[in-house]
Amino acid sequence: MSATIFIENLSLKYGNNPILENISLTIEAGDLVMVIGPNGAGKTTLIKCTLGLVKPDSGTVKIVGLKNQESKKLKIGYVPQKPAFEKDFPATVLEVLDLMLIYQKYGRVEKRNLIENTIRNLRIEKLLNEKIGDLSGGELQKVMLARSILNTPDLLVLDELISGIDIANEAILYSMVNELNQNHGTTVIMITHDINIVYKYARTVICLNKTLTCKGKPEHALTFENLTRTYGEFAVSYVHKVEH
Amino acid sequence: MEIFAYPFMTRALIAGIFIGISCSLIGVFIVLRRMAFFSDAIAHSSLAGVAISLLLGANTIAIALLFSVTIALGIGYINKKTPLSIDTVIGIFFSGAMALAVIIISFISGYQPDLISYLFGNILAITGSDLILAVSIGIFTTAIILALRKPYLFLTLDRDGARLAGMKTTILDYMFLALLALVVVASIRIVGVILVSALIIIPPATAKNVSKNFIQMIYLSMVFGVASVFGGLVLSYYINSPSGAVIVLFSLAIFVTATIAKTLTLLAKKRRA
Repeated sequence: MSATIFIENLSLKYGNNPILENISLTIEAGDLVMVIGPNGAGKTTLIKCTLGLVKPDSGTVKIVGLKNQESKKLKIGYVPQKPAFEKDFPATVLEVLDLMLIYQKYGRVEKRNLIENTIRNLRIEKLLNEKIGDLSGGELQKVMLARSILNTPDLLVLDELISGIDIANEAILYSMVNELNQNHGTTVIMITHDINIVYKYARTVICLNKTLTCKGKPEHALTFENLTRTYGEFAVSYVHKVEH
Repeated sequence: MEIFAYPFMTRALIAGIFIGISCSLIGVFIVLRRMAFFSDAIAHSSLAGVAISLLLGANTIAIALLFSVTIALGIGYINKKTPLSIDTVIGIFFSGAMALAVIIISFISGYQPDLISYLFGNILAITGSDLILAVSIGIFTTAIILALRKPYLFLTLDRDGARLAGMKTTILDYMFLALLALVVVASIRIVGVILVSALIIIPPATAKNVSKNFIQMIYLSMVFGVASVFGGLVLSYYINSPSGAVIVLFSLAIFVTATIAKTLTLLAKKRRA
């Protein structure tokens, strides 16, 4: 099952500071979308509004999941920008992963197998009995991803997944997300700052700077004009100079 | 042992075991959710309920329970509905309830031994109905928290994740606050209003220091909680001191011992490595 997302006229202010202004867009079921934009562009807020974790001032978000033409309850995987775990939390990786399955109808052995398969694919099986507080930033990110994909979500939302992860592991993480999208039809939304990654994996790119500045296939949407509207003239010309 | 020959001591020990279990179990989540100040506020708020009941000559536990549950849910509601931080909201309710308690106490004429026993705990004051209350609240709260330990762990660990997994987080939050108020009121006869939050915080904090995982923290916390109440009650009988204070000091002694033992074990491991 995949999730289709309809966002209409979404606006949000913190005090007098506009964060999102009149955003309207549709994310198709099974799409792999990457959201780009400068710091403070409202990327994380857009994601939180979409997931219902932050209430917008106005506008609506509708997430629809269809299976055999019938609406079903959606499974959502979410990796936040900053892990929600406290550093001294006394739970192990196994306990944290097990929590994701408390509402799923799996037997004990089935649960264990599912957890073991996921962590093996992410090459973190040695961490299973470690306390989450003892993990490095990169290890914790991988545990967070494992947790979010454990029950094969219909919608997977990743907020700057690869911060703190080395390039070898980065490839593993992207291939797992890609596999989930291709083989299970999971709708994926990722926030990133890496334009190369957008070209490599995204089918749709959304550019944001408080308002929607572009949306489409990366090769069509990431024009000089759109990037200038998103990041500003100075930033784009600077990147342009560095690349040449 | 001689102390078990006294019915009041037997009542205190039985009630104490159930209180030790329920306080230390709910305390696991209080410590992990960093709500230590909250449990203190609920305990102190119950004093206003105790004072009202003494002034009116009404059932103390019923009024204290009503007052504590109202304050607990009030703090939860204001925290959700306003941008004020939780410690500010607790501070407002805490000081308000204490001020109310002091004013009501000033209207009660003469020496109030009952009030002193609610402040510091008094094992001699435990009646048969106090025992029944402590045992029933102990069983009720322990059963609910153990049954909901995984949802509460999820909620403690990752609130957004819990909401996305479909959990009714608001209902779970309010239920937790009401359970906390129940546990506090059931404990004030033995430990007293002033010190009950120590029994909620110290055993889980000790367990957190030495546990390898969450489930171990739960069981060790209950063991330390029961040991604190049992050891403290027996000691308070022999040294003829207020039970609440001795229980807290006993629990503190376990904390210090466990922390030193953990530190020494870590040092020994480092030397071997």
